[in-house]
Amino acid sequence: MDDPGRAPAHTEADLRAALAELGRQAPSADEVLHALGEAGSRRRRGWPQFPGQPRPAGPGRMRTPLLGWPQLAVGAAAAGTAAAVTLALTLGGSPGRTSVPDVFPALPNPPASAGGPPVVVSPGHDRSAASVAKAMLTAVNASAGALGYVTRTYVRAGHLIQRYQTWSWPAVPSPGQVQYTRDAYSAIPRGASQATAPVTLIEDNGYTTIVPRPSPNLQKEQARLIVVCYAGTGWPGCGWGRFDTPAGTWSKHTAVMPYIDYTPDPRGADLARQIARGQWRIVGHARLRGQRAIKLAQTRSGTFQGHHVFLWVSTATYLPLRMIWVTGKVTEEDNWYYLPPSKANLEQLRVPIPPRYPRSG
Amino acid sequence: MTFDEFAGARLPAVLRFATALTGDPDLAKDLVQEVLIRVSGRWQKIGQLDRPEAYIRKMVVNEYLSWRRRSWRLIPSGMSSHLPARPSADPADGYIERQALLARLARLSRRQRTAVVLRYYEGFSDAEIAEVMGCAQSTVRGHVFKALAALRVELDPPLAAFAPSKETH
Repeated sequence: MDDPGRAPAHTEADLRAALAELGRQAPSADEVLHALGEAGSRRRRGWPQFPGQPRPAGPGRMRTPLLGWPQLAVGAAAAGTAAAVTLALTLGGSPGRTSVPDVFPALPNPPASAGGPPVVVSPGHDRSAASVAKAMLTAVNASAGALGYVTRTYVRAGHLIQRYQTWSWPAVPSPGQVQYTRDAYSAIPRGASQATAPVTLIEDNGYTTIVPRPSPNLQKEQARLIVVCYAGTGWPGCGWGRFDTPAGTWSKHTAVMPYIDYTPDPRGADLARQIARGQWRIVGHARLRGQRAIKLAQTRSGTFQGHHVFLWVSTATYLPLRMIWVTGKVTEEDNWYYLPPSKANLEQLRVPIPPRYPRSG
Repeated sequence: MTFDEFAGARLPAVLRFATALTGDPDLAKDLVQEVLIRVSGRWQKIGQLDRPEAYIRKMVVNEYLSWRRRSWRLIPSGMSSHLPARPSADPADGYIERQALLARLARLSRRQRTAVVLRYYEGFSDAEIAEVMGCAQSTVRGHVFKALAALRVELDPPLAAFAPSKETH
């Protein structure tokens, strides 16, 4: 760890040199323009961005897809879509990785203590932000073994345009643990009116892996990926790094893949620490999902600058309940649920495969 | 200026800027692609500006500041596998120090990092940074001052006068 008490070690010239070194790593303009051309001619949601192009040498890495990448000809109308769809992720990998046997059970067995009451360390009458943060951190840590369920919705002008549903168990995994995740993505079908059309399920992913130790570098772990790509969405297929799944089919892959931390973000513990650091302030109380809750607003030192952000923390459990982000015309609402890892709840981690959908990979 | 002319002449610089901003070539590519998609629909207007590159750089900054991808946390900027092997010209100590600096750069807030990149990579003045970031010049100075403290960069004497104002963003 850095020692903050140490004397300054760099000069402004060092900083300029470091940034120049980063700048020299820039991708080529041709590569970007080629990708744009490809996007214009055959956009595939979330598929590798440069179909047919060799990936750079070296270890695989996570990358961010441009979900909903519109055709260039769509022009201004595409801008909203492009902006709204930057919020999902997938991973990419270098080709040629060997598949490995699937060692993960289809679903985890519920732990013996499943269903117990949550641990609550109430701050009592002291409802300062600091005491709330402390209680929240305790509660989140005590809920590490819960099934985390987070819904993330995006609403524009009162109309739902995207929804993510993520189940993750354990909710706060430790290195070495197997983590089960299911992530279902719904959006307005491509070509349908962004103002009036209802969202529809586009893809449903199951991702099971072993949680690696924290590292600043890319981590690869054995993982199992199941993708169900729904038909009738306007997209010809779904993509997850090097794995393509045509619409109307499903695929299953077990391989060593770049690790994706699917733990819902922002994490409850991170929020608690932010509250403790004064990045949130209590602005009121409310009743939410049948629970009394404290409402907090981001302060000017908050992490999520550029957004108006509000957070609700249950005073029954001191777990986060809801977070709302307002950015321009789009409002994002995240809802957290910490469910007991009962057999019935863990069943939610299973990706349902529609009848008559063939396996494509 | 046509879009092709812009792409041929100025896109490499925009990509270098985006890479310094994100610390990751692939994220930079994604960022610039998203901006170009928006640009393509409005090029008739943007192409008529005196400095379309400046406008696009501002779009890149706005996109970067508003991006909320999880991957920003997954791959700390400046720590990706794309960083080259040790440059042969650098002594080992210098290389390690630079990596440490990049690691600290990755831990800055996005607004602080943006201000630092605009100042030390693009060489912008406070006024220009304030215009790009949409904030006051005093705010820019506050970002830079705090960022340099976090980066453990010693101030040159002229910048040392830029004490952070009470305004923090």
